Amino acid sequence: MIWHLFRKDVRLLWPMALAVGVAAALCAMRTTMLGFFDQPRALDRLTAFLPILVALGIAIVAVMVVHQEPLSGPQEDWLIRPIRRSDLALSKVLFVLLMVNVPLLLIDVAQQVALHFPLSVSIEAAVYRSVVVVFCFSLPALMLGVVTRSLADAFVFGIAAAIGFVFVFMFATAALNPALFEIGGQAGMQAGMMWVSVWATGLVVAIGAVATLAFQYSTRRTLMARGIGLAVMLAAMCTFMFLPRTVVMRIQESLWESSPGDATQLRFDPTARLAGSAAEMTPSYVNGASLPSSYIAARAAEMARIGKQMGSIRLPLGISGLHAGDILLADRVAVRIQSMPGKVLYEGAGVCTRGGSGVGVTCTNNALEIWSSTAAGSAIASEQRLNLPIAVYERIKNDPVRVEIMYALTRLAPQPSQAIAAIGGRRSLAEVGSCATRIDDDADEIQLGCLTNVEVPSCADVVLEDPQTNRRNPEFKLCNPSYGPAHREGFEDAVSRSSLSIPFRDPSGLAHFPVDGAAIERARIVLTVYDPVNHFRRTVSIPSIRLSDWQSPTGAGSE
Amino acid sequence: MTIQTSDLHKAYGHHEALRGLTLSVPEGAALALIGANGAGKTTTIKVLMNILAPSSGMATILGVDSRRLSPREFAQIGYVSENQRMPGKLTVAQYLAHLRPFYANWDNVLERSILDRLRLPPERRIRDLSHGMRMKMALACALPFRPKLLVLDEPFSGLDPLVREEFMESLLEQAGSMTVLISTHELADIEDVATHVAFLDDGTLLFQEAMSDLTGRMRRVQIVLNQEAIEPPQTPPSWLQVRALGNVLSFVETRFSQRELDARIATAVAGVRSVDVQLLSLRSIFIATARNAQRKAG
Repeated sequence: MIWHLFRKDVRLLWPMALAVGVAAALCAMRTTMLGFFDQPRALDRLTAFLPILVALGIAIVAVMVVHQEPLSGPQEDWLIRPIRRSDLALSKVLFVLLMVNVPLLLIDVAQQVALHFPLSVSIEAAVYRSVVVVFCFSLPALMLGVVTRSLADAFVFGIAAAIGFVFVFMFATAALNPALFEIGGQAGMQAGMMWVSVWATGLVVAIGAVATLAFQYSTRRTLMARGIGLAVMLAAMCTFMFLPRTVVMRIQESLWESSPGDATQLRFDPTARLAGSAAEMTPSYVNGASLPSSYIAARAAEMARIGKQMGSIRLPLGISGLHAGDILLADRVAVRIQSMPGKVLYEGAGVCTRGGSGVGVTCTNNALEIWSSTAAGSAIASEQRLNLPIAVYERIKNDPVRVEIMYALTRLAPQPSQAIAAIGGRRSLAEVGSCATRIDDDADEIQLGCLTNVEVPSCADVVLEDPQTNRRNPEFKLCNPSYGPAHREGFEDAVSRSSLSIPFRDPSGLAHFPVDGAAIERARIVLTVYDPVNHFRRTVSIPSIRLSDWQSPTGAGSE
Repeated sequence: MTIQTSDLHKAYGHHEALRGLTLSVPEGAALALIGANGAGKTTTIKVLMNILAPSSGMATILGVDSRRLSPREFAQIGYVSENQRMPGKLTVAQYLAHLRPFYANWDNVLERSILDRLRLPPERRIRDLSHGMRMKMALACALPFRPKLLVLDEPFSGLDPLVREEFMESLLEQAGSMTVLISTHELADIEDVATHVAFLDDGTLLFQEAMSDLTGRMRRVQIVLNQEAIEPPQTPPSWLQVRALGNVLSFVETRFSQRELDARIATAVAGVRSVDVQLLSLRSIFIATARNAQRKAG
């Protein structure tokens, strides 16, 4: 009877499903038309609503198909028909899958093939995105459908629940100890293991939605089902915010194949000299895109405010065993400080502070990112900055303490460099996608734009080079690691766009670039991507130090 | 028993819609569930159909706990309700075609004959049907599988006399040996159909008995007196709606037998010139009983 019920719903709802498919196709066409550089801007702005329309459409169709046989009303004809509830529930899921998700998957594949991505990769990316859509939109929408009676009812309940969750989030970040967030997704925002929190959250939503569907279809106790649904969303929120990073690490490490022993060693090297200042530059670029000055000023003020709530120390490190050109990236830098008799005074991996307005939490993790340019085996002098809550720091800074720094590390190795002409270049770059270059409107930057359907590499360095003179502009070093096993999902469609702006001329005339306007016609962009090759743990033990001897001149730490 | 309830309670928040309802409908009977608005008739039916869960108590339908009714039982139950929501976008023919596979006993010939008799337009969308047409549609969906039990919840509500007539004719034609439970205010329409009557008041069953017993024991009595009539200070408990008008004293006798009536009159009333005893319609019985219940409730 599942198929029979499904066909009835198709007869009634095919126009809605078709509308979602058309919107999704327009969305895919939009990405294709906007090309490598998100141009023309007018088209981008005029069609910006399309992805939201598709998401809304997916949710509305799922709610509507459930409402063909509402569960919460006492007047429905189907209630007195010999219809097995399990058949009914499965027919709804089947409808969503076949009438919404499969067309979306086909549109995704068609779009990628049209952009000349290989078919197998395109199918893989589209399937992954379908799974994300099912988890993030379809299942929650089905859940909303079973606890409501009409579309208006679903809108009101959905919006009320969303507002409620915003208040819960605001309350949690305003009332709970910020240190609680150090363990959760908030602290892991920048880490390559963020995907674990995201997937765990998706899993909670999926299991919870299935449980709510099963409960409501079998009992029709709407009030209770609404309670379960809200609890599921709350659980998902908590999973995202509070899933302990130790658990995340354990999950990630269980997925990594056992690596052979890595030669990389770290040690505390008190004889090494620290750089003059550890002041963090407020970034003026994110992934090569310049930031507005108002943002830069606000960011600097925020970092100064956070700095006042932390005590930071800088410890000189000697690193050996890295291969030439490797990157050493810390996924977690946990520190344990003990008094000389062995009492633990502090343990943590960073400091979380409340936002400036009293709401929201910002976590400043301990970090380590080493780009090796030395010959294999030679030692690199670096430093480890450790952030401690200001109260802890003030209490223990003058006492001799024992410090243990526990690293979870990833070594990334460079892949063969690839080059693309700086102006008018167009080619496929391995791991990056289909790329093109051009000069920006101000004629002071080269824009590199790429369309991709796979996870972008964890790290890359990009440099503008004059092949005739071999002169190079300063490198852009970018790291945004993700160790997830799946493809990057685009919100709009299966293809995502990344871009980088590489300056070659300073309009103010203060800076001079080795490769400038005169050489730009023949210049090329040389791009090297880095892939993880080994994950391992190391511990640096310092038997006795006084923290105040290593105090950082600035408070604000790296994030 | 096709339907049996025992100490059934149903509360909506603080309001108790059913208060310990104990009811039984024998196989093959046609039980009319009557009562004023808000008496609990629809709630009773919805609990029996497992549309609503009872707060406590027990109901069995076709020998199965109402809370455990499965497609097997529903395949033997026809249901028509004034508020039944059918998929409005489907046409009459499409919806019947949708329902057919769910019922192993669905009789296509019977379906066609019911459609013809009820004059339902097969190509019209359900949402475009008038209320009366929609009720006929609900009946057309409830009969072609020859249910063992037919449950009708206020089926005549809002129907004009012609449609009511068509509805009843179709119902009577197909009723056969099926058990019928019907809740209605249109008592005249069911007088010829009902074999049993149950009277609900404020969630409580006042009585349930065979129609013949009920009509046999209820009479309207008019006594013409030699002098001006006044209501006797003490009336027998079996008299309802005692009224005095001029020299006429009238009442409804609820436990009629000629000999006992004569004895009660002789005890309660003096100066009797004549006594006139009339049969009561189901409507009159309903009104007398309902008013008495209202009076008792204060």
